[in-house]
Amino acid sequence: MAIIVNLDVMMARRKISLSELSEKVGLTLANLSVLKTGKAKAIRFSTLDAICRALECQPGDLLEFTNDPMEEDE
Amino acid sequence: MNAITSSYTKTQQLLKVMYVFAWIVFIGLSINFGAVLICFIVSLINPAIAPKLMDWSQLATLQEQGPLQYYSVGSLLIVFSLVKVYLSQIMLQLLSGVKMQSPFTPKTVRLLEKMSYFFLSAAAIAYLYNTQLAYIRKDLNISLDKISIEQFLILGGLVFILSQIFKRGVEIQTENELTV
Repeated sequence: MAIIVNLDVMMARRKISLSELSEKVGLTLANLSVLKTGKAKAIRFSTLDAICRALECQPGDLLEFTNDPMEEDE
Repeated sequence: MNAITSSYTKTQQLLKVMYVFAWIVFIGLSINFGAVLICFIVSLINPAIAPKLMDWSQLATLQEQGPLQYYSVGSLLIVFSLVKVYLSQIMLQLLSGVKMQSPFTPKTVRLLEKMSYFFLSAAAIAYLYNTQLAYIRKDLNISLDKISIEQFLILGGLVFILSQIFKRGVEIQTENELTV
């Protein structure tokens, strides 16, 4: 997939662990882990909203688009 | 939410009851297959005993008048009974493996596809059997009960359509599970 989730980068900047974030956002550790490792197929706006509030950032800080041909073939 | 939970519980209970019935059907069909096989083998050794074991009188007449046709019809009957046992066994696997939290699994799709192929195979075997009976009626003037093909064709088609719907369901469920 061409969309990269930079959740780990924002978590490191805000110095927050996955378990703390999951409590703040209201998602399970498993679901957050799916998002962090780039395995997620889709994200709800409500989830994006909760993560942005918790990490005090913009959606653009979390999501990045790459036009990599190798990834497009996948 | 209470209505959904109650309906979910009812479905689970219904599936448990169906599982018990599926076991009864499987055991019954297995016994039937065993009886047909044993009767056929016994009739080859001692033709007089077979009609006493089960309702074999029509086939016993055929054995006297047309042994080749008897072997052919007997073999088809045995294979047909075996296919029915296997179909009931697939049904058991389906019912034991179904989880209402995530019902669309690749295993379920494979089992449904297998079931549809076996239903269509049963229809093909029934067609061969009925064709044989037509020849026997013409040559030897012996009338035997036909097997109905339509039900197996319709079931085979329906189950195949269901398997394709479940295949799409697996894709949608996977996407849903990976949506955070």
